[in-house]
Formats: sequence, structure tokens, C-alpha cells
Amino acid sequence: MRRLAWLACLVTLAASVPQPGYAQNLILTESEISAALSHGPWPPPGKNDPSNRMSGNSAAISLGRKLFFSSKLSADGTLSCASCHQPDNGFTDGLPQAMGHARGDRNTQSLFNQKHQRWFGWDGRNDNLWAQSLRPIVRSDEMALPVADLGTALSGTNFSDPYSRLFGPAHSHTKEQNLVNVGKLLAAYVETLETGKTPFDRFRDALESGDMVSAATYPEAAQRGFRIFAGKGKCNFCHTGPLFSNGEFHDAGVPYFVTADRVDEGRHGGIKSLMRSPFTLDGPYSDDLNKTGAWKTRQLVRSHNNFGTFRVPGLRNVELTAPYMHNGSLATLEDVVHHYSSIDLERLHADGELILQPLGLTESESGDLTTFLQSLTETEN
Amino acid sequence: MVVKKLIAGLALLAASTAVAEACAIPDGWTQMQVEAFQPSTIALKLPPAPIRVGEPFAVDILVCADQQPGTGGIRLDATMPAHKHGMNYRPEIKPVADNVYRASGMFFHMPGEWQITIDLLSGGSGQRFMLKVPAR
Repeated sequence: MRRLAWLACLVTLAASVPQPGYAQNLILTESEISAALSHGPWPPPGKNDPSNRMSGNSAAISLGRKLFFSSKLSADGTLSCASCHQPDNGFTDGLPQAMGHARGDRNTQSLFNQKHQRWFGWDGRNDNLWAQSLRPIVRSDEMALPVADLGTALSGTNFSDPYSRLFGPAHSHTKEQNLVNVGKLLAAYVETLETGKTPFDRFRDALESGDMVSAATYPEAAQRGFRIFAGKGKCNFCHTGPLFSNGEFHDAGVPYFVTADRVDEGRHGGIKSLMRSPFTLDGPYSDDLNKTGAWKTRQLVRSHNNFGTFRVPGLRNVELTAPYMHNGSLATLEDVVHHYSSIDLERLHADGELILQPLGLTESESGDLTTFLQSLTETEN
Repeated sequence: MVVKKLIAGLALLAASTAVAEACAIPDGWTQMQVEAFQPSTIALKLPPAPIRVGEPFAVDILVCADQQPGTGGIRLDATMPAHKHGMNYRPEIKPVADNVYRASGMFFHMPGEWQITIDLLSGGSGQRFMLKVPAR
């Protein structure tokens, strides 16, 4: 009798151990798995920026990093790029709106994964990273350094020799050229800020390789959250691909009034700024003689629908970059989920896209979606 | 009156038949649809389906018409009818061979069904052609 009991125990124990190929807790359907696969692999193949001859140059990256953390690029010597783009804060500052020499209208964007972007800034006013990097130096509400003072900031400092080795002495260039050169050094460094693999990536990679046992270790709550993300949430219409962003501009139902009598034009204003800028991929400061990528600026469609739309941010490490939306109006991820769950259609452009609808998520569904978003944070293993 | 309409219709049919015979659609090209009879035929050579979201691509356009429109006579656009939006970039159209034009800078930024529309303009009149393509 005792022997039979032991045998029953062993059989029960054996049945509870996952067998090779048996997915214990994988709940996604075949089409949902296909949707998950589209968000990788991570990282995507990267290549150097042909418009920036400093891209991928180790000496330039090193100098760019030093400049990033240096307050010598600000008018009063108190601010550096890192003042707003804080490494320990997801390369943001944790504030609703950026605070340079004055408070800005918009939330400080994280610098993760900029190498893979197509447009830069909430309004896409720049079509390349080095142009985006030089703007804050001279903006009066950011670092406010007069362009003419940049040469002095570079000369007679520990930046002088490495700068000269890369570009020649600062005093031999125009002030605009020095500004562009510094932008290219900063961009060379920022390109290296790439997030690592996340629990979602390991899940996705396991699905692709057919390792359903490993895939089944991804929490069911996160899987349910992904089901909402790629299903009734339609989040992946805009948050597409490995970057979880299509890199384009949409109306997310967040008010674009800054004050009662001032609006943030969003992409509409960004395009105006882009068209006036000499620092584009089509311009004289690009190192790319073939003008690769300039097509997007030359062939841009200008429409009244661009008004009040903002660039879709990537979602990798999104848990680390609160608060959210272009004006930092949503404090937590839970607030973001609630925003889309109960979106006010009156706030969307009357003749705009017909995509967003209030999702009407239950508390449990909201929790699952938040859990999925949290699984996009890089981890060691 | 009826006879005149019949003669005009037959002439149109004969002309389009002649055009179609003179301009056979090669393998791998997809003929565009029309809502009403059009004397011309247009076929597209598309990237392998489904078209990838977020990556620029080019489309070759074969125009079978009595008179070639030239690049100024071809208007190409693409929309997502279900979402009420179009592309964010205007493709550039250039001739690449006899009867063939290339539209570069096509860009689908969202997954789902897109509708490519081509308007052929000549002699003050226009013909419209459509094709639905998936993007993923």
C-alpha cells in the first residue's frame, strides 16, 4: 500500500514538471505571437550617421561625453546637458516641464535609443541628432550660451586639444561651424545610449526560437497586458516595431494650450522651424554628400492636421521616465493608461485621425497593461 | 442617339483593347482597380507583401495609355481609409523606362490596410485607379 502511495506521488510530481515543448502559461494566440515578434529583435542593427563624420568615432564619443557633463556650454556656467538629461533619471529630469534658464513648455525627453530615431524633439524640428544636440546650447530658455562665446568655451580648456585633433583649432572656424562641431560630438556620445534587453525581449526571443518553456516564464499579467496593447488598445498602431514608436506625430488627446492665450503648435511649429534651419540633412553642414535621409525633409507633407500633434515616444525604459506626454501632464504610467481608457474624444482634432477610442478598461485590465509596460524596462537577466 | 452612344462605346472599347494588347502586364506586377471603366490600365510593382511599416520604399508604375502622361500627369497618394489619414511624405515620381515611372519616398507609418490611389491626368481629364495593400 505504502509503495503504491509513493508511486502515485512520483507520477503526480512528474506530471507537474513542464515537458520540453509544453507551454504551461503561454496564453497568447498565434496572431498575438506574430504581433509580439514585430517588436524585435533588440537591439536593431545600427549604423553610423553618414551626416555626422564623428559618429562611431571613439575619440569623438569620449569628448562628446565630457561636453555633455560640462557646464562650460552654458552662459552662466551652471547648466550642462546632464542638468536636464540626468543619467540616474532615465536621462530626463523627473519634472513635468524642462527647467533650463527658464521653464520650458515641454517635458524633457529621454535620450535613450536616439540613434534609431527619424525625427528629433517633440515636434520633430530636427531631422538629425547633431542638430537636435546643438539647439539647447543656444536657446535662451535652456543653456543660453551666445554662439560667439562657444569658441572661448572650447579654447584654453581641457577640451582644446582633443577638439583640435578632431576639427582643427576652434579659433580657425566660424562660430556656426564650432556649434555644429559640438553638436556632432554630443550626438556621437548620445548615440551610444542604447537600452539593453528587457523581460519582454527575452519573451519575444524565446517565442521566435520556439522555446515555449522559456516563453511561458514571462508573467501572465504582462501577456494579458500585451494582448490589450496589440489588440483592443491599438497601442501598436503608433507604438510600432522594436523601438515601440513609429517615430511620427499624432494627436493623443492631450491639450495643446500652454496658457489660456498661448498654444503649443506641436509638429506644425516643428516643421516651420525645420524649414528655416540650416542644420538639416539637406543643408550645408551635413557630412553626407549623398544627402541620404534628406528625402524625408524634402518630401514632407505639410497639413493643418499637423497642428497640436507630437512625436510618438519610444516605450523602452518608459517606467523610468515619468512624468509623461509632451507637457508632462500625466505623472505615472497608471495615469497614462487611465488617460487612454477614458479619453475625451472632444479633445481630438475634429478632422483628424480616427484611431483613438476610450478603451473602458477594468481595473484588472489597467493593471495588466501597466505590468506589460513595466516589462519594457531593461534588466540584467 | 442610342446608336451614337453605342458607336462611341465600341470605339472606347476598341481603343482600350488596343492599349491593353500593346502593353501587357508583366509577371509580378499588380493591376490597379477602377470604380468605372477607364481607357487606360495601370499596374504596380510593389515590394514583397506585406509592406514593412516604418521603412521607406519605392513603387514602379506601369502606365498603359494612348498617350503617356509624363511625370506631371501622375498623382500618387496613399491613405488608411479606416483611420482617416494619409502618408506624411509625398513620393517623388520619375520616369525609369518606357511607360514605367518610379515613385520613391513611399512610407507607411502604421500597420493595417492602405489604399494607394493614382490619378492619371491628361488633356484636362482624369482617370483614377486604386489598390489596397497591407502593411505590417
